[in-house]
Order: sequence, then structure tokens, then C-alpha cells
Amino acid sequence: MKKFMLIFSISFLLLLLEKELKADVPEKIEQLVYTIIAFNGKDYTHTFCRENEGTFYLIADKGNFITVRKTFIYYWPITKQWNAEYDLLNEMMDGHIELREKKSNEIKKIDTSVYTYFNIRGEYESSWKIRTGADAYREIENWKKKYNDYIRKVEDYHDKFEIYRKRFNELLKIITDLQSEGEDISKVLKEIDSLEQPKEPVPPQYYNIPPASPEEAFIFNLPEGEYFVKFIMKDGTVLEGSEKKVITFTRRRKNGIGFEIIPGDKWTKPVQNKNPRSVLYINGSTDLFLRPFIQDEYNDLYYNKMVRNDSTGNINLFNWLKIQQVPDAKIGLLELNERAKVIMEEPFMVEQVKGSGLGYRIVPFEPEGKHEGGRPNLIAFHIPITGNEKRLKLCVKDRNDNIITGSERQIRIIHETGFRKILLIYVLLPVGIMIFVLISRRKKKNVC
Amino acid sequence: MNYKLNAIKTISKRRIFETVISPGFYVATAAGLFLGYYLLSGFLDSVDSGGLNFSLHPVYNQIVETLSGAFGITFVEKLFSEGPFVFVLFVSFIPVFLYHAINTVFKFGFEKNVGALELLMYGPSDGTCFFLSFFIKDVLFTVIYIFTLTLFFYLSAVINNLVLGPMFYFSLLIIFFLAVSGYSYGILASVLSGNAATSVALFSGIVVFFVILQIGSFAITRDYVKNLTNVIMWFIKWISPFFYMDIGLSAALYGNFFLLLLSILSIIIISAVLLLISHFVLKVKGVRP
Repeated sequence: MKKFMLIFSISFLLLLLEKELKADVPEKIEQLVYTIIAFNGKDYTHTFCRENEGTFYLIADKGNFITVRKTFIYYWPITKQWNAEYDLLNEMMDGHIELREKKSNEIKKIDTSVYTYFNIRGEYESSWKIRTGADAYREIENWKKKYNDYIRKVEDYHDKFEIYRKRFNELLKIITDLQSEGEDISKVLKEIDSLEQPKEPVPPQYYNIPPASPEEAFIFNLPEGEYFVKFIMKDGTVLEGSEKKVITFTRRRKNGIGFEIIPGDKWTKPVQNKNPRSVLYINGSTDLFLRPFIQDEYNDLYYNKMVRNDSTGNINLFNWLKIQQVPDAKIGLLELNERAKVIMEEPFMVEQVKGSGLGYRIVPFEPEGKHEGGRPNLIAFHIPITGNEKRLKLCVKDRNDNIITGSERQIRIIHETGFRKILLIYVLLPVGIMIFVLISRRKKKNVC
Repeated sequence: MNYKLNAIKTISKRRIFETVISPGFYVATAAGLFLGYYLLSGFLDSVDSGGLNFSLHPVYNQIVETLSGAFGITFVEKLFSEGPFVFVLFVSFIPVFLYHAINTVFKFGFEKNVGALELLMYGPSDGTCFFLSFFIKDVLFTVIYIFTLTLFFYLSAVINNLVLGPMFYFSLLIIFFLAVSGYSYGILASVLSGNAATSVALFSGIVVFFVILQIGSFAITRDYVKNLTNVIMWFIKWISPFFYMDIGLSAALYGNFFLLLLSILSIIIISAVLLLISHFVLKVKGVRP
């Protein structure tokens, strides 16, 4: 009987826990979505606008790639995000987009175009380029040609290097033999010196990110404003669920300066300091490594929704967004009562600390010393914090030694102080006055 | 007119004296300062090797999570960008503001109910003198409290190496006028209501309504909630001091001092209009309970 009860209890418990024990498989819903490859101020990001979302957001006057397709979407509760399953269903809709500007009511027809986009080496975001139609194919061909040339050169280099290596080893063997026989090796040494090591070819420099394979999409390059879009099928009917609002927006302010702050003890957890008026409070336990960057200010909601259509943001606020590192920057550091120091960007290496602590430390990179052949983990401006200072002021200087507007920041080092408790006396002062007033009133009453 | 001014002066003095000898103001001040002290300590405990890490302080962590959930992470970043003082100022100000406003609303209603106001009318005084004396008392004690709070924050900043940034000073300015308009709403609520309890309920209702509307229009909410609050806000915002506070603080943030002054002027105008309405209501309605 006891055994039966035990089995029954366990079975009952398992039945209750069934739902908890089972992995949650998200429900996949077939929907018509707008897929968006949007320019985000520095790169291109991919998102999609599902049926329940009425609006999608794009940066004005920049090329963005839109497609309309049927796919499966599902909600992933761990990341609280909607994802698309293009592998299961990816049905492109055939037709065109009708775009109406809210202000002028002007209607425009947009057809699909073949496109490619790529990034060429440059300092600013304008280094992203778009090519459409035949130009797209030409650009891809150009890249392929450059790439194939490079591959050929690499193969050639490997062949030559192999010959070089073989000859070098042969000569080394000859030297060893001659030395064992006690003969002159100067002739062979001369040949070794004259051996020229082949140079490794450099990859194509023109492209930072090469042209993507050609795709077909509706290219939206719209001025700032509000628009309404709908998808018109080949038979002239409006595709159900395709009507959306499009908001195109621009940055409010540009070329602000923000900082990426890497504390010496947490180099994997950098923090950003974006607000030009902000003060950086630190506890001074470790040195700081800074990386200044150029930032633009966008509407918080519009930008977040442009990057990910199911995200949120505050429409009333504007947020600074990192665009790129400040080129050829220097940091001017002013300690209290001291003359300004100029700090240059330096390479650093992150080293694991030996021992049971298993920490790490950031040390200067020594290319000809212990780090020979390696590459630095971190290139940043080192701000030493000794623990004695209370405040530091810093600014970013451009290549002409001019202070960049909006780059000034203050660092305050907060030390634990026993004086903090003194403030409690101030807090309790009103209560003290109250007691004094009440007692003196009572005394006065008694006298009367 | 001189009689009336004299009456205002005399009743105000009496009100100020009453406040000085009653424990309420001291308790509210101590409560406000203690809140400030606690929040400042929490902020200091949240300072890490690379900046602010609110997860180090459980209460701050909760506050920051709530604020980020309601208004977005950008709001939190901006709120604490200069330091803790803007946030702490607004929180520390609440106990004293509520104490003065509710005390005035309740006392006004109560004294009207017991016929004290009617009795005063037989002299050179009238209802307007009566509520203006309350108003003057509230404004005076608000100035005293703001001064106390500023001194406390200044000492905290010096001792703890913190910065009292420009946004703090702008907030200080705006919060004073915000309180003034709050007191004006309190007086109007007292004048319109029949007894003390109704006055307090009406005043609380007005404040809560404005706060909810402001939060609704500023917070990250669903589209339909946003649209609804925006529609209501469009009609109501012109009489909401929080709307002008929002404009003023945004203007200060972006260095538009003309707009900041304009928003302060708007709050002053609202307060003046409310007091004027209270004056006419009393004139028409009379002061009988």
C-alpha cells in the first residue's frame, strides 16, 4: 500500500510539474512582414516590422532596403524579442509599394531594384555606398576581380615562400655539413644573406566591407517626414496587412564627443559616458582606459525602433549614439592645481595574472619584447589614477591640438570618508529645534 | 487697501508663528532631509571603478529599474549624468511640499467650517486676505526649506566630492515655482469645497491627476495609452504646472534660457490666475460655512 502511495504521489507530482519541466517551444505565427535593412548612422542593421506594429522608422536621406514577405515569426521570452524564421518560410511578395507623403499627399510608386552596399575605407559614415542595377553587378565584379587578384598573389606568395624555405633549409644543412668537415662556410653564408624572403600580399585596401551579393528590394531614400505605405499586388489589389506608417528622421545634433571607459579591473565591461555635461564618478581603485568617440544625437524611440522594430524608447528624449572613434585624437588631462598633460593613444595587452586569484592586468604592449608577434588587445588612452587625486578634468584634442567642443569632462574620485556621518547631525537638526521650541513653549506656559 | 495689507501682514505673522511652534514643519523637514541623506548615501555606495553601478545598492537598483521601465534607460542616464542631486532634490522636496499644501488646505477648510473666516470679515479683513496669508506662509517656509536643502546638498557635495551641476540649480528654481503653483491650486480647492475633508480630497485629486497625466505622456506606454493621455494632455496641459516644469527642464538641458524663463513665467501666471479665481469665488460664494 505504501509503495503504491509513493508511486502515486511521484506520478502526481510529475504531472503537476509537467509544464514546468517541458522546454517552452515558442508558437510560430505566419505573418506578412516588412524586412528592413536600415542605415543606423554608422552601419546597416536588419530588423522586421510584423503585422501588429503599425510603423517602421528610417533615417532620412539615406538608402534603406525594404522587402515584403511572408514568414514565420515567434516571440522569444528570454530576450523579450520577436524573431523571424526565414528558413521555414520566406515568400517574397510580387508587386510594388505605393508611398504617400502625409504632408503633401503626394503618391509615389516604388519598384524593386537590384542592389548591393559596401563600405570603403574612410573616416566618416559617408563611407557606406549603395549601387543599384547594372552598377551593383559592376561593383561586385570589381570586388571579385580585386579579391581574385589578391588570392592569386597569396597563392604565388605561398609558392615563393615554400621555395625560399626549402632553399634556406638546404643552405642550413650545407653549413652544418661544412662545419663538421671543418671547411669554409663564408660562401654559403653570403648566399643566405642574399636570399630574399617573399613579401606577404596586402588584402584589397579599397573596401572595408566588400559589396554584398546582389539582392532585390525596395530602396527607400526619403526626406524627413511621415509617410504611409501599402503593398500593391500584380493584380492591382492592396495586400492585406501591408498598410504601414513610415517615419523618417534625422539627427538633432551631430559630432558630439562621448567616451568609452574601460576600468583596469573590468576591461570586458566598458561603460559609455555620452552626455556632454556628465560627470564621471569613480572609486579610484584602478586606472582608466578611455576611447573617445564621435556621437550623433537621435530621438530615443525612433532610433531604437529603427534598429529593432519591437523595441521601446522614449519619444520625449534624445540619445547620443556612438558613430566612430575620434581620428588622431589626443587627450588633455588637467589634474587639480597642475599643468595640463597630453596623453597619447597607446597599445596595451591584457595579461592573465598567475596564481589562484585568476585576475588579469593591462600592461603596455611591447612589440619587440615579450609580446613579439602578437597584436595588442586594447588601444586606448591610459589615465592613471593614483588614489590621491580628488578630481581630474579632461578634454579631447584634434590633430591640430584644438580642444573639440563638447569633449570636456570631469572625473570625480569618491573616497570613503568618515565625514559622511556628520551629515546626519544636519538631518536631525530640525528635530532638535523642534524639541527646543516645544520645551521652551512648555516652560513659558508653566511660568504663565 | 492699507487696512487689507495690514490684515494680510497680521494674519501671515500669526500663521508663521503657528507653524514655528508646531512640530509638523520640523518633522517634514527632517523627513525630507533624511530621504536626501539616504539617497545620497545610496548613490555614493553605487560608485564603482568604472562609474555608476546601481546594482551595488538594492534600493537604488529598484529605483533605477522602475524608472528605466517607465521612462527608458536614456531618462535614467540623463537624470544621474551630473550626479545624484536632481533626483534627490525632487524626492526630498515632496514631504515638505505635501505638508504645507495639505496643512493649508485642511486648515482653510476647517477654519471656514467653524466660522473663523466669517468672524474675520467683520474687521478690515476679507477672504482674500485670509488665503493670501496662508499663501505667504507657505511660500516663506518653502524658501526656508529650499535654502536648508541647498545648504545640505552643498555640504554633502563638499564632503563627498560630488558636483552640484547646473541642472541642479535650474531644478531648484523650477521646483520653487512648481510649489507656488501647487499652493495656489490648494487654495482654489479650499475655496471651492464645503469642508476640510472635501478640500483635501479635491486638492489631492488635482495633484494626482496632473501627475498621472504627466507620467502618462512622458512614460513609455502602449500606443493607445499614449494617444489617450496625449489627447487629454492637449486640453489640460496649459493649466498643468508639470507641463511647464517639463518644458523648463528640457530648455535648461539644451541651454535655451529664454524658454526656461518663459516656462517659469507661465507657472507664475497660472498661480496668479488661480489666486484671482479664488478671490472671485470667495466674493461670489461668501465665507459662510
